[in-house]
Amino acid sequence: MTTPWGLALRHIREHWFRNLLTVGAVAVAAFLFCFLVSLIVTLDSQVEESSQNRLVVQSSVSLFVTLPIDYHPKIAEAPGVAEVTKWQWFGGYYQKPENFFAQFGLDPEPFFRMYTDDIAIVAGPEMGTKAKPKEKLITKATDATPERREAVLRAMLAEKRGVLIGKAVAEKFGWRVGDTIPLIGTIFPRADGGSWEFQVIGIFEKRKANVDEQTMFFRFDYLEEALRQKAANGPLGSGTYFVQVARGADPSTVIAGIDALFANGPQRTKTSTEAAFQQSFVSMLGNLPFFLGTIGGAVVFAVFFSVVNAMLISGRQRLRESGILKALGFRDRAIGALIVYESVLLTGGGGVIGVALAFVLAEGLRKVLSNFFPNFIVEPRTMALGLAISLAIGVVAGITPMVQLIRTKPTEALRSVG
Amino acid sequence: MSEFIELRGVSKSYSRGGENLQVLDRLDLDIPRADFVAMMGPSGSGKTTILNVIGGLDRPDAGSVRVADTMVSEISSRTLPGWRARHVGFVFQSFNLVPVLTARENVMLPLLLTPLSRAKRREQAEFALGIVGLTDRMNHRPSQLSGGQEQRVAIARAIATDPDVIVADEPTGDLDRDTANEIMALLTRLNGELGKTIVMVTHDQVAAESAKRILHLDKGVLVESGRRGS
Amino acid sequence: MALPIGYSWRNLLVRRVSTLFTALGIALTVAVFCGVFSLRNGFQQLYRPRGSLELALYLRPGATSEGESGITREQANILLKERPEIVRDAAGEPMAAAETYLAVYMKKLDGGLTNVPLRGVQPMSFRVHEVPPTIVEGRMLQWGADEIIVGEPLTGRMQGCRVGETVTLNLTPFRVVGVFTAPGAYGGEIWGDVERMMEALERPAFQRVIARIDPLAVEREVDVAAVNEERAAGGLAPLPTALEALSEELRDDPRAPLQILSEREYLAKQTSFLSAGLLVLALFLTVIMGVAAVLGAMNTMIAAVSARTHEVGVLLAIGYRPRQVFGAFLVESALIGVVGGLLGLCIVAPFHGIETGATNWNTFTDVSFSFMLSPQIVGIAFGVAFILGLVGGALPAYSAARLEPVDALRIR
Repeated sequence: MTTPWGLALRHIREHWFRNLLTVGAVAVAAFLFCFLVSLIVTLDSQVEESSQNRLVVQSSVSLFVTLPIDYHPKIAEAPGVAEVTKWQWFGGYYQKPENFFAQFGLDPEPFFRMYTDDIAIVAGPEMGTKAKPKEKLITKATDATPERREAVLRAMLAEKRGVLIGKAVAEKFGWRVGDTIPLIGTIFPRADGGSWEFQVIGIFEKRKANVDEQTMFFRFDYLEEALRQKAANGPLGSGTYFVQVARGADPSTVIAGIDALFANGPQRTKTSTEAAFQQSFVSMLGNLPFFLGTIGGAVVFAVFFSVVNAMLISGRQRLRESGILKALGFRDRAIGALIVYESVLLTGGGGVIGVALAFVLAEGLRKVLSNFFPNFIVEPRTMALGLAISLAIGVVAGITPMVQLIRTKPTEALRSVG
Repeated sequence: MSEFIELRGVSKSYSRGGENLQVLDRLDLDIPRADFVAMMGPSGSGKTTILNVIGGLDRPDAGSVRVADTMVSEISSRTLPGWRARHVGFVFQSFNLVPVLTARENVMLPLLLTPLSRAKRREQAEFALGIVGLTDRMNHRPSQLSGGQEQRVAIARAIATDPDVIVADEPTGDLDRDTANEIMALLTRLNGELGKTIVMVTHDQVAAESAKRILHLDKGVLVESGRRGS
Repeated sequence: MALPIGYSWRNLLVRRVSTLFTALGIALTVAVFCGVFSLRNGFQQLYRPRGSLELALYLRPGATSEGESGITREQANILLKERPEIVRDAAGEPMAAAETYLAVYMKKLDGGLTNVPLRGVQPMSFRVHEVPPTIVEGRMLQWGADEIIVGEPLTGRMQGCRVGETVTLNLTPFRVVGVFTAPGAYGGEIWGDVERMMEALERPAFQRVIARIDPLAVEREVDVAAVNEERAAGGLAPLPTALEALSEELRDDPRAPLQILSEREYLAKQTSFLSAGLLVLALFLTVIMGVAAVLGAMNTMIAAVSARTHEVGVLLAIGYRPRQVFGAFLVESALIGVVGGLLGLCIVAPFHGIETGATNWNTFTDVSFSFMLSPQIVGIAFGVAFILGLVGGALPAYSAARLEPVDALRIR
């Protein structure tokens, strides 16, 4: 079945401005679609990557109730517990309240043993403070060696104020290993109204999608000491305990065991897997995923209509020509295929542009969204979906004019005023 | 020997605005090879309909249409377009060139439906354009051509595939007198020198004079008015 | 004499399908704009200032929200006894209440977990507010008993919040004895006896003291000029109000270092995160959808102009000026915008008043509110639709106006 495909390209070029508008509209829709779907995917991936073998112990009442310090040895002795560390949200900021990021006080040794797979130490104390400004002080994740990890752990044990910071935080504020950083505490304000001092002894990079690189890990006992000495105010205790389930142990049994330990207080606990803990944060977003999905759908819908409109207009103007082609002997199907082809070329082109734009901007968007949607990522799957939808729109939008062109008899078509 | 084009008992009616109009009623028509027939008559007399059934653009409600060896009225709608491509050349009143294509590309269009290679198609198109005298305008678009030139391109397109019959519907309708004469001269040449069978519908008495015979059609009834040179 | 609006309008009607599809693009943009903004508005309305009373909150210095704050019993006593700006009632009692605040886990009726604000209150808490919580079902709680009253929206959204049901806090079960309504965000809280709360939760500190204050007393109490002089010496900007100056002074008090701010100001600050987030979302989506809508409108108008080229030639030949042709097409596309605006409003209108909830990221608690369209939102949305139509039609209208009659008439 011969089809004059070249005619399609000629048509597109003929009305290049209008077709550019159509392509633009589809590109915009594809971009927005990818963006919105990526937000949802990002939220889901946080949970997916979370561990089933790590547990979070918190108060059954509220995330904001601190658990007593003496829970630590008790949890450590619970059956099936391999490691336990305190994990206290610090809630501080750097210079201005807008510059907040996550800080957690914990016990270095269990922490390093528990988090071998999740983070890669990319800068350690060997970097020193004497480095020149432009020198690359962060190595690749693949260079992260067990030796460097050991060195950072030792540095942290040696320096009470020592902190391990994520690459994103280091880059945002320009901090390097060896720097002393001051943070203002909101939950734990210094008694003299000043700032807490920490010292950077290492920088980490995430190895899993659910790790937030805008995080700082410090020593819990540094906080504890200040509280006991009244150098700072605030509750003494740990908001949460993170537990590593021993190999071979069943997480749900361990969970039940830990909660049973504290069933009579002083603070009743609610233990869950890390995955469930993460999920609860996501579910606090409530209907957001549904909301975003609806908007994504609305956009696709709107642009779909716009493209259908554009194609109908093209089709109308094409009537005369289709009559000519039919008279000359081209088959109905060929003529119909032509307009669907044009439609798909336009929407496909727009789809490619929109999807590519989402991909290119993903890095920038990740930085902008980092406080609310850490690890924003545009997956290949999302892009493929965006492209597929664009093409589908093209096919469907081309069908109505196609049907019209096919159905009109050549004699009528030739009579029409294109 | 049976005639080149044969219509037997052809009837056709249309419904327009709720009314049923019987345009052709059991019409018979014979057209020998290399004939040049002009059909004249008032609007609605059915002359365009005759053209359409000969050219395979429309089907009669009843009767048969034979062009060369093919029973056009019988062949399936699947095969009809293909047949048209190989056996019929159309010339319309409003030229009906594809505006986004150049003159040469317009002429090449029907050739796409043949198994010819691209190079061959170009050659044939340029040859046809040569016959109509528009070689120097090959790369122009219809909007850049005068009415007469457009019609000549249309004629070149009509002969590009070397069809059995050229079907022309008011070929001079949109042209001034001088240009009309040029076109008719061209058609005459095609008929005389190249032996093309031409069936033409026209309002134009002068144009009709170029034909070998003139048929008058009124209310679906054909009356031969005279043969040139008879 | 301009081309009549009827000309533009009727042309729209002739190409009904085209007009509708284009208007739909604009309509959806308007709908999204209104939707997100009315969500934001509903949320903000919860925290808008109500009443005329001067209510102030005392928090720990540096706390940006109650949850972060901690006030010891000692400090609270000093506060109530000694602060002169606190209004006293007929019996000479300071109209101030020390309260606790905690975001507690609750299961939602439709599944999932969320945080609900739990407030430990004193009897004075009910007298301090201009419009205190009103019991609409059940009864008021008994002081000293393990009882709680819950805000009305919670009964339909959370598990275990109906009268007679029990909420367990740590180890202690608290019976729901009543349902209340209260203006603003307080309406979605759970209230109980602060002493019982502190004991059950093993949290022996208050989070805030809320008090009625006398603004004149504040002025008398602090020397604003002196405070600002000191600030200037330290390179800081001067504080505009007496209350802020007082807060500065209180912060340095050795026995009870605190900050003070008006309840109005505090509430306004509690909306910052979600408000800002929704604003960004609304603008982002509107801009993107607006671009797509404009592209669609432009497409339609270009086709309209191209189909009516001959007609334009005739108009120009008759004697209409290019300016008027421009105007006619512009009106046409503006009308599409208006139609789109109306359609968009029809799409969002049913949402108005629908109750929903979200997490207030400042307090980290669930808040219930309704979608609230406002005249401003509707007005701006209309304006946006109108502008989208105009922008979409501008270029094509311009190209129509630039047609030469002779050329235009030549087109069939």
